[in-house]
Amino acid sequence: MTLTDNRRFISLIASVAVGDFVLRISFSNSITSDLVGILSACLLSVLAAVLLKSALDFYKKKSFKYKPLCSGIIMLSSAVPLVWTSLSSASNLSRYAENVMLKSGSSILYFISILVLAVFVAFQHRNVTLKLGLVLFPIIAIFVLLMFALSVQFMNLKYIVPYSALSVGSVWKTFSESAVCLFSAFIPSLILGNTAKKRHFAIAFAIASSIIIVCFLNTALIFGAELSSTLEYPYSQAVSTASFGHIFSRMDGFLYAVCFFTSFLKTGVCLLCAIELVKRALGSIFFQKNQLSY
Amino acid sequence: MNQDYGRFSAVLEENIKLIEDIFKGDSILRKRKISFCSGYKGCLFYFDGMVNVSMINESVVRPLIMSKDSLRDRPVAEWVGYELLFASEIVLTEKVEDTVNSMLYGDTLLLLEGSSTAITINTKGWRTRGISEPENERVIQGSREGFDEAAMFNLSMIRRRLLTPDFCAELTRIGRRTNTIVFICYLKSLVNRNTLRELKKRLSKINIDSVLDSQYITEHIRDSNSSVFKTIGSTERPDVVAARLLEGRIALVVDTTPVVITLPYLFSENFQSDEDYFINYKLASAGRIMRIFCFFLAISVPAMYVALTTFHFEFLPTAFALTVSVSRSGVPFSTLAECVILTVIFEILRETAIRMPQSVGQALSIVGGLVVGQAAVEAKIVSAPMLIVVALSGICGLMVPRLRSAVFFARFGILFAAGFFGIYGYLYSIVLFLICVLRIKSFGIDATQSLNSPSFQSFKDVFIRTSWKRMIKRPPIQENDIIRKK
Amino acid sequence: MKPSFILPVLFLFLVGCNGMSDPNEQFMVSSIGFMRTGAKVSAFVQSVDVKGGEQNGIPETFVVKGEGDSIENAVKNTRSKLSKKLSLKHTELILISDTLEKDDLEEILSMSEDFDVSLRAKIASCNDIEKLLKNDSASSGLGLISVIEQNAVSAGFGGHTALFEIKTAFLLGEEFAVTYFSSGEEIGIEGLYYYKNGIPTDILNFEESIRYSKEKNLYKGE
Repeated sequence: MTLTDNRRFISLIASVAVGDFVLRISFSNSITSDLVGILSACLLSVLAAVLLKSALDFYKKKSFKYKPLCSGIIMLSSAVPLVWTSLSSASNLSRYAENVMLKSGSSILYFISILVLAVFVAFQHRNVTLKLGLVLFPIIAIFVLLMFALSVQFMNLKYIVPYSALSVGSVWKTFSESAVCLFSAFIPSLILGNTAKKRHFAIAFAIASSIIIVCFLNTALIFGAELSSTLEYPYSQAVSTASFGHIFSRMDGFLYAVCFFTSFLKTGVCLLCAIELVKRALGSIFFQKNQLSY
Repeated sequence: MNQDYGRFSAVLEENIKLIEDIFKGDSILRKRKISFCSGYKGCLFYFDGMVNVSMINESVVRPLIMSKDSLRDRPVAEWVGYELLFASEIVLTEKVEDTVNSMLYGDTLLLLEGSSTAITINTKGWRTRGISEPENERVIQGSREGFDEAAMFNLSMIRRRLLTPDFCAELTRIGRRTNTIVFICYLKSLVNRNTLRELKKRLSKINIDSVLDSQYITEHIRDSNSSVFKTIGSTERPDVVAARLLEGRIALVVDTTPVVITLPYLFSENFQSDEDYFINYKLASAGRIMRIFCFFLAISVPAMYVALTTFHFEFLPTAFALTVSVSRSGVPFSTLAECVILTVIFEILRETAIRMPQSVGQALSIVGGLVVGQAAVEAKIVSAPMLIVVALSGICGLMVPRLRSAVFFARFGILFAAGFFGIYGYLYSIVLFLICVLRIKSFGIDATQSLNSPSFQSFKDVFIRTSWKRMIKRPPIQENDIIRKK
Repeated sequence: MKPSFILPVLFLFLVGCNGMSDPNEQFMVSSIGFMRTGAKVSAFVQSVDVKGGEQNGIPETFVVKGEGDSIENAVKNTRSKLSKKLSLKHTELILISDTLEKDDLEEILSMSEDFDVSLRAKIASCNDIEKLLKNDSASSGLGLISVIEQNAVSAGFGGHTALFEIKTAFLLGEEFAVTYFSSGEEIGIEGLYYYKNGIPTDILNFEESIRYSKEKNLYKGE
């Protein structure tokens, strides 16, 4: 029985790839440019994931041998962006918590509490984190789709049709924001996906891309580009228009769950992978073992 | 207390004195000197109340006295034991300790003049409770048999269901003074050898005075004593034990207690009911889904209510928000305090209902319901919606009795988190709770192992119970023979 | 309990949230209206009189008025008259009079953000807001809202009703039209009030309203 089952891998990596996109999503005045930017980032992430996996498989087959010090340095330098991503995700979530979820708290203390929980997760066996992703990701996906479906009544196709003029600056801005979210899941996917195949990588990033596109369209079709560009958390505001009967007159609670789970998983998984890389790097440097293996 | 008393001598009087000295002051020890076959002398020792006296009379005394046989060229003990006695089980031994242990368990000791070998005869006859349906594991359809306090009898009930030589029951004794008999039961071809080895290692480390219940052993061998989740199963039903053995688990049958321990224990078992496998699988599946949902409600409803009314009032529908607002006017406590008070009262009522005599039970239930329900609301000590929330949570918690401990602690933990930090606190505590569940291990086996290789096959007996036709594989507790149905 | 488990719990409690409030400490506003009379702005808040009882099965409502020289001051004045904290989180209807200026409308829209008014809250127009709200005896302003919704079905026209629709139109500098209540004794719809560039321009009668709705695809009836 392998510890890394592919379904768990797909769920976890998709969650990490979505990450704090729902909090960071921002719009320019041209919805077409935004759409092009996001779609390009999504497509590129799927292709890049497959290519990276192919490169890794090639590396394994050829049994490249690095000097222990060299492999240690490579691993340490891989750990740095992971730590940065983790802290950035925690920071976004804590700011969202301070501004939207619970305004009377302090973002610093939210940040610390999220980090503590993420560290707690990071020091568990990776099996626990994989299972956590498997449990939380379906909830995230269902909530996102549910909120999309329930806000359909407020959507207006005129916001994306007809197409407006493309603006390179807007395309690049949206592309870079989406790409940062999606590409930050590459290193965790390589570390956790040692038994996964190329198609599993592609599926994970494709699912994450779909969710990102759904969130984008949910906001764009309700508010349009102009209003969305003025809102701090446009997706959050878009979801607050959804309702389900008289009992669920506001669905913001579900959105809070989505934001919390995705950002927290990203924080925890990136920390877990960073710790693993640091352990291997120290093993390489101090014990002269070549541990550069994924 | 295992003490070495040495060996018997060939002098009858010396052996009699030895036994009398060992059990000095014990008023229920009985002695019966006997002469037989024209000159041979012997002495019987047994504990009154532990033996079947008519069996002693018919199997031991009568054959000895009526016998006109003579000693052939063989030792006295062998001649008496193999040729004269009518007993089904005898043991010949020279060690005093062995005979003492046997006598303490209901055997009769026969000492013979001129022989350093003593004979213990199986004459166990203590009274037991008999077969009755377990109070806490009632079923509508299915077997009504339950264990009682005699380990041998319990073993026989298990063995009747597993008519295979693959079934094995290893005997061990635990407890320095009580020497409690414990049988380690498993199916040789299905058991996980690593788990068995680990269990034996943990049992050998138990160094306790007494074992009066299986819980003594449970607390010594479980993976983590601080966890609020069950990692070792227990049951009073022989059909459940048999089913678990057939999944590759190990059962510990402890003498003097009707509760049998089974391990490893999976988290999904908390949501299983004993009759899930005896009723229609669709109904069983519905029941199981309901239990999972009720568990979630039990830990979440009070917390969500407090979070929404304290921090996120805008999420409540307007009409309900008005009702809550009206009902809370005049209540002196904060929402969180109100919830905690009512939850504690509910727990007190629940405990009282278990412990109080049945004759006053009904009256007390009415008083409890009227006092807490009607009077407290009218006096504006608590609000009606809060009462409903706490009652709902309490009743949902009763749907999953195996998770009683987890529900109790999780409910309060999540409640405080939500009461101080709203939905953020609720989500934080739910994730923390989930992590705690996912890291549970039972004897090295992941308690949530169905999530290790998620597939329809691995969930077939987790969230639902599919038909027996489709339950092809056992839970992967062991890797020997995973196919249940071909 | 293991320290590794206690630590996350302890840190959570460090967050130390102070924003607790009790439901009965909040004055839940079901409808809010704004009217300008010269230099003076009046704000009207309607809430359900939960202690006043019900008439014909419908809870009674009561209206509180505040005045000021701007929207913000009018709301502050209203707040000062209440013994509880003003909560607009359950507001379902915002009434604007045809005497309000473009700046007033902008102020109302930004105020709705500060007070966490739901973006789905409906907006309608009326001449005499105080009279309209006092005549509305249904709970939570739903009487007026159900009138708007039923009218959309029976009369065959509907305006830009949701708050976020008005916000979008404002940002884009586009025209919009909101339901206009008549100022008679009985509650009724007179038509749509047409706004151009944030300025109230004209009242459209039934036929013009139906034509406008169809043109802008605003009719959401059967």
